[in-house]
Amino acid sequence: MAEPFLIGENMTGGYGAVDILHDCTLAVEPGEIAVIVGPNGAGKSTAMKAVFGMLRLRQGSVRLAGEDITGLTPQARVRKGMGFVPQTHNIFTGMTVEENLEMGAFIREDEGIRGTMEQIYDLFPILRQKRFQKAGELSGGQRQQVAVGRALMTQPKVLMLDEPTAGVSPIVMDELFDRIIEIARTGISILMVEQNARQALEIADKGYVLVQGRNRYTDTGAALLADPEVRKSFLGG
Amino acid sequence: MARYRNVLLFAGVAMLFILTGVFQSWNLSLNILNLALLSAIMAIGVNIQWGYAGLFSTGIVGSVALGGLAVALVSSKPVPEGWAAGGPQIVEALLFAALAIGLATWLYRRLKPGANRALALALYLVVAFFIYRAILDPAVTAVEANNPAQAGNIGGLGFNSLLAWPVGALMAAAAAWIIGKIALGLREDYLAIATLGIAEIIVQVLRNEDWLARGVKNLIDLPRPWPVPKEVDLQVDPFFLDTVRAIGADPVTASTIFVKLLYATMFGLVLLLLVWGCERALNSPWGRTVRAIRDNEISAAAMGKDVKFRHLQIFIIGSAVVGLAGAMLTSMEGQLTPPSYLPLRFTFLIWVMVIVGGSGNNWGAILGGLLIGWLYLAVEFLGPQMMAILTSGLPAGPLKDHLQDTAAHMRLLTLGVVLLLVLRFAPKGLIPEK
Amino acid sequence: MDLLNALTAFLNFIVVPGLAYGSQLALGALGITLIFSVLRFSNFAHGDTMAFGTAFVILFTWWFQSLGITAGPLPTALLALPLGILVTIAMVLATDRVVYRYYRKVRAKAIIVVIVSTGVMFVMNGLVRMIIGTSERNFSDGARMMLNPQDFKAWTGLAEPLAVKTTQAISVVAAVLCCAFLFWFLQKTRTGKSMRAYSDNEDLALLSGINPERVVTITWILAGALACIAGTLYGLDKSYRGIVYFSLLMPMFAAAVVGGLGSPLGAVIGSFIVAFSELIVTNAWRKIFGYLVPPDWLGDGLYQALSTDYKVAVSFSILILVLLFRPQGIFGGK
Repeated sequence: MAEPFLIGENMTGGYGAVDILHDCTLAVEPGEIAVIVGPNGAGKSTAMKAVFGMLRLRQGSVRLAGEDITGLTPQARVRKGMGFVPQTHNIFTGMTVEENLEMGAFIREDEGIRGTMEQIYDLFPILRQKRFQKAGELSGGQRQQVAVGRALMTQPKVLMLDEPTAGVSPIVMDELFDRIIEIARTGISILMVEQNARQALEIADKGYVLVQGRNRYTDTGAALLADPEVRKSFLGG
Repeated sequence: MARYRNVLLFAGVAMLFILTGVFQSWNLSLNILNLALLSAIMAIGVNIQWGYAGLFSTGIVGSVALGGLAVALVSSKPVPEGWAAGGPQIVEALLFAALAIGLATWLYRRLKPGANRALALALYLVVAFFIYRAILDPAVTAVEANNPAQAGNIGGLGFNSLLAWPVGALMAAAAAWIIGKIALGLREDYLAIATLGIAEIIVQVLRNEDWLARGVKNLIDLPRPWPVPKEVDLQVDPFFLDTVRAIGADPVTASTIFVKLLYATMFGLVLLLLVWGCERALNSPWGRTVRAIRDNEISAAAMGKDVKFRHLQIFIIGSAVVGLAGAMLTSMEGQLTPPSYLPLRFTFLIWVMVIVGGSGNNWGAILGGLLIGWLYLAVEFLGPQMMAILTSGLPAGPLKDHLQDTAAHMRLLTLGVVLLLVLRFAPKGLIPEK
Repeated sequence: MDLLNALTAFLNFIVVPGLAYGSQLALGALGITLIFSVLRFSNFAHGDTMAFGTAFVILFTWWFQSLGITAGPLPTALLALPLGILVTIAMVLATDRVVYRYYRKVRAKAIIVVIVSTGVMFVMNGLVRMIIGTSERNFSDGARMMLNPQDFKAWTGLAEPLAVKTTQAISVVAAVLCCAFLFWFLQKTRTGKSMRAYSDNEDLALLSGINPERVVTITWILAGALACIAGTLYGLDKSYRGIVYFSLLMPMFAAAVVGGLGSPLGAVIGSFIVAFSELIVTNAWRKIFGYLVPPDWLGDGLYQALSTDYKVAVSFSILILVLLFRPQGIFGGK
């Protein structure tokens, strides 16, 4: 089998002396949605941060389109085509929606920024309406849209989302998931961590269940949803 | 090993004072020692705030000045005519001001929030301020009109100057309470900014309120604290003269040195007492709470410790220690000279002492106080001497004058560079905290 | 009751000096607030940076004057200002490189950097004293008055004069130009926006590929230039002494905190609040009241709430009120 487009392989590491991740592997193909679920403290966010280079790995490697990027800084990975939406503090609250998007495209030198911005306004029409409003004044769901939009401004090949639906209402959550599917359909790989495991696995092509920093189950989203073990332990029956 | 090193450090500083005594004069050396000991006490006060709670105050000079004011009020000669002219009325005015502010806070709590409350309170405060001025002003004019060349103030209580030391501590503590109440618990820079302002105001009050302590006209001839005698009295004291003759010393020099030694002993005792108290306190349950808060404010707060209250306590205690040293300073100098209360000398110099000595460590603060105290004062005679040697080859002229003038300013520059170097390369100071 | 004369006196003693002083404060407070929002510390060395820049402007002014170069009716210092700005910028950038950069790298606590800035303050203060001494230096030349009080009286026939010093007019014009440039820069340029983004959310700015060192450099350049301009205008207006700039720290901090530390617009508005409060509180109102009420109502008071020696108490009180009731300032901030 060919190497996946993005893979974090056998990752082991943590913030201090204690490892949080143990031999953990995550991978995603173009246009695919991969979801990381698991109980609290399972190292979901840590695993994603490791893929993005915000955590020093003791073992294992991260490869993007066959290239080893293990040693690159997060900033360098952005230039390689990875976009990251942190869980909190993911927008510039004091700047307008449009400025947020502009800042997202800061590293781009080409002329197409305006076009990308229009695409994002098409994807999230509410942002077009509120483009001159301060992002900090928007509702939770709208802020998440700004955050995702900002990350998309670099036209990434991989979009990584850390709990994009934390703290938003179920209706807004469904809406956000719809948008994420739409983004994936354009060929962008999505890797996301989700607290709402059931809903997330429903839209996932691939699911990773992590427990204590290790891969416990890995399968398609549908298969994991159908697995009685997984249902009992992680999806509340 | 560390203990050995520390003893060496203190021995080195002692050497500096001995060398000064041998090569300059013992009077000068002891003079510097006394001032350095007082600086060390101030450094302990600052170290309590910084080392125990991470509080950065830029208003140390304010506490020092309040200590000085305490000496003036407690120990200076009474001026009965001045007091009779308006003293009670000034007290009334100040009481009125305190009551008015008290009432304002009470009203603020009782009234409903909103623009009306703000407007009403502002109006009330303006009216209260003018009533206060109407009571105060005539009294001040009357007091200041009384024999302005020699008095013009309300006078003091005429008590022993030793009694003023705790009073100085209390006055500094009171000021710290007010400022701490307002500026603690916010961003830590705010305390630095607010203390800068209050210190400036305190010094301005001392300079301008002639009725209080004669302002820039200075209050001189303050009595000595018990048990220090005056040199002139010693020189006619038969017992002292006999003793001096027995050693074969000059009575005048001996009397000045004796007085300075007496001060050094008193200051040393206070210093040791403070260190002993601090060490005891740090190892008590109170000290453990304080250290827990310092090491991790958030988790200490989560464990139900009242961080802001502890910080306020520490801020007050530290300021009180500085106020005590300020009172001791004025009572040794025997005069209150408001223009000498410069932030560079009494705020930032003390900070350099604490940082160089080792923040968080009392012995470090003492070492820093003695070392930097010596340096700061020794530069006064060393700097011009060195500049004179360096410029001796130059012909007399504006360049030579300019260079010799700059020697005096070198002090500031050197202090700044020392502070920056220590912060950068030895942030724990000479005697790091265990 | 003589409204016109009262109004003229009010303009003369409050409005004109208040606008000039407020403008000078605003330029200084803008620097403080910029440094706060990007470097995240209260810069105690800012007053002495102003003194340092002004010292060089004075040296260049003297040099120009000795060469016979003047600016006609305007002070020669305006010609020297660009050179002074360059020296100031070089100085603050060198300071950043030698001193502050290390503390950014180790992510030191803000309060440590504040203490470091007091060390820088010492060094700059020492340098200023060595370069230009502590005595008063007069470097103002050109026409002293833009609006001459005698002329004003002759034109209007009023008893009360109105004077506008050239330096006061220059202060206001300079502040307007600098603010306009700064707000245009922050709102409209990519670099300015990246500065705001960095100040808003450092981590996200890094993720967006904004280079922090570049942002910091530009911040120092702006703050240094503003400090030099502010210091020079203040020195021209009030005559220069290297050691008085330390006492400008309090009103500038108060102005920045009133507006909300980190908010440029707030710093400007805060500066005018502080400047006018100082003047209103320390002004002797006797003259103005004299035109409004019959003379025998007045008594012999000066109608001065506080003597000018206590002007620091005004900015301090404003600071205290803000800390008590609205610590985040009028315009949010941090």
